[in-house]
Amino acid sequence: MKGILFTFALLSPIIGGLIYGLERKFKARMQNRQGPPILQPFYDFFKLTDKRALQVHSFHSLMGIAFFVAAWFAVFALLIGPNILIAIFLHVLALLFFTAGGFSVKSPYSVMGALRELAHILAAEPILVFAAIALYLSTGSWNIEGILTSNTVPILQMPLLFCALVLTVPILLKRSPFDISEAHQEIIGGAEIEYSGLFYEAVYTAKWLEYIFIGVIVFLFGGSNYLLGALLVAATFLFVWLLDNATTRLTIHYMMKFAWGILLPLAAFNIFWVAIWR
Amino acid sequence: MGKKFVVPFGSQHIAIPEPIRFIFTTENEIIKSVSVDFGYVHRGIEKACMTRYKYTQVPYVVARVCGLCAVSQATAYCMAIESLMDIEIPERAKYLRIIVHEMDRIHSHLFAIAHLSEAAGYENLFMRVMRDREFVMECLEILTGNRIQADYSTIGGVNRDLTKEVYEILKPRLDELERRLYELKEIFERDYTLQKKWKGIGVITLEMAQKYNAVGPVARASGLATDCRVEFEYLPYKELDYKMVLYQEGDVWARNMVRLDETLVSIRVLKNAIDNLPEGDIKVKVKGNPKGEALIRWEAPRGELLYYVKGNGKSVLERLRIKTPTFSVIPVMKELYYNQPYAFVPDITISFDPCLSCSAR
Amino acid sequence: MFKMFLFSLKNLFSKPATLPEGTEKPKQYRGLIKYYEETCIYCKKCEMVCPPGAIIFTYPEDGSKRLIFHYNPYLCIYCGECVRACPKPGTLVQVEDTAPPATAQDKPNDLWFEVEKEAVESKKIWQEARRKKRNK
Repeated sequence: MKGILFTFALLSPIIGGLIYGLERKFKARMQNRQGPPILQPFYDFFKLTDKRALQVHSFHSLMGIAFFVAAWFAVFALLIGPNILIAIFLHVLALLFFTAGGFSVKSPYSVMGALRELAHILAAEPILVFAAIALYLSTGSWNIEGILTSNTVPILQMPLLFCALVLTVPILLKRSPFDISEAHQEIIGGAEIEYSGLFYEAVYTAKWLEYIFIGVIVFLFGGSNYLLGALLVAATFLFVWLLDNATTRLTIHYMMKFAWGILLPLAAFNIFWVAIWR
Repeated sequence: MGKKFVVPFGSQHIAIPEPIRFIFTTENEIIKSVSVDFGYVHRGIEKACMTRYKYTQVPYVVARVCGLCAVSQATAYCMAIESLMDIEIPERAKYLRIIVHEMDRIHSHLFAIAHLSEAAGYENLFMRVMRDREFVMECLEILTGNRIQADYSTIGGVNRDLTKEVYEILKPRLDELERRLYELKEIFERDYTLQKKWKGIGVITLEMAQKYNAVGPVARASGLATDCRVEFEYLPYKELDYKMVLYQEGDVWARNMVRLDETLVSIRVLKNAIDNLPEGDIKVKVKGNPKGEALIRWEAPRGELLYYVKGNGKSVLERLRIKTPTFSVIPVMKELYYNQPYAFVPDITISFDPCLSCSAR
Repeated sequence: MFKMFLFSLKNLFSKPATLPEGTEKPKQYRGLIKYYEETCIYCKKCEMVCPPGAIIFTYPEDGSKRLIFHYNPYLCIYCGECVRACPKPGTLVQVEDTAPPATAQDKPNDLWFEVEKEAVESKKIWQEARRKKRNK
């Protein structure tokens, strides 16, 4: 089991890239047009390594690389580490590296994007912590191997929390209606605007790793039933991509109100119900 | 009390493809002061029309002032010269001018609606509206030979005729387009996230519209009833059952709905015109040179267009002056930005449908 | 929101609306101009009427009436005024192709400036030759 998880974590940028390529093809088909080829993210990778990288200053470029390294480390910690809660905190650390890089430049778009990124972290991470607590409550272990070999199926005990998690995925992946920190038409890319060349490639690849991170957490809700886990992952991604094509972009205030006012009480209610019923 | 940021909404930006430059001073993402600058695409078209081109070649030059209102510019100029030299064009030419003019209006309004949806972050609706716009572009291509620069009006009439086979191709496409536009209207009226995004933002009251002299769909969305097609009788719109569209709210949503409803009215006028084309020729011969002055006010898709022509007996004009609709609407735009969050700036700017290549010819 | 949701789901299973490469243009699309020298009477009306000046006639040295026709497909705006102004129908015909894009090696601007200069100079030589022929 550990060997499979280790190879999966090692190959996670490539798998994440394929999922991103599939997303662009699906998104294009939903909009009634032909899309780019599925291997397009890898063509972008080769093109970006060819470009000359213009650096603003060395701290900014270091934060770009640190974002990628910390995100990959978080995926490793999730898959072969002892405790999935630590992996979630490492994921927050990776996003904080990115935000620090965004603040360190004098460009107004970069600073506004970094401010909005902090709002994203505040809105989305509590629900991930609640998801880890839910997995512990239903299967009795914090370890990923324990969850994957337990007898109970977590989603049957925690349906409301799973719904809250699925509605948080747009906030983590930065898709409509919550793509506020990289609002393409308002602040033109947010905190990633000053990167170029190889450092932009590092930030670009770190976003592919988000798919793996979220995919694994959703997969764990299927417990030892791997088929159910795969089905849940496919259904979640399809729902998020359909929702991306059916809504506009909302504001930060609405995102905070939605995440802390509706999603968090739903998740907390489910956890209290299961904990008390035990 | 936050720090003051200076954010440029510069002449090169992803949201608006127009070269206009705003410099906002924001505090906690609320705008406190604005400064506007435009004139980046000045090409000297008026001077060129006074020195280099003869008065019969000017419709082709003036059509290239703007891409989206090309037909309106050429038609307005031809009407100005015809009223100066007292030329009476045949009825069939007038109907054909209305047909192409309304097709131009439909495709320009659909482009504005799609652009506004894209700025709101709703890319799927943008692609859908552009797909529906392709029907009109095909009709224009079959009738005039090109999709946007139609080169259709000349002095004394129009250039190409509408034959029977063109009529057979146009009719099913227009019916299909009307059906799709009714579906689009339902989506724009009822979508939940669009209403959250657009209602109550960028409100222009009736007094503001009157004080700053707004024109076009911007004025009609605030309740100010001004439309050159109703006030002047150069082309027979009254026989073709044209009605003005008025909304009272004056926000971004109302401006969008005014454009969508005007598209539906245009299709109705278009269908009436195609079914009832009178017989006759399409052009009269023009001799001589213009002498005197003339002033025409006509309705481009974005508002009121003004042409002043002065000739003194030579084949090159003495003075040509164009006043474009976006130029009149910029003072209102500047007033609207105070005390709004920066996140609404692209929506407000694009809801005015600016066409900067007209403003700085 | 739900309507667009169902619309996206339906589009996932239908063909894309993109026109494939090599779709033909419709009939009577306005394109380039073709010149047939047999019926031309060298009245130069097309040169006077063309708005951007894409048609230029240069003059032969021997003073004969047969002028040489030059056409710049990159300046042409495909308006069709020359076709309408020509008194002999069939001399100028508008076809449906458009000009392929030019590269810097074709030197489109420099060659055309030379043609413009040659038109002015060759006209003087031609008028001299005609005056000599008349005085003979």
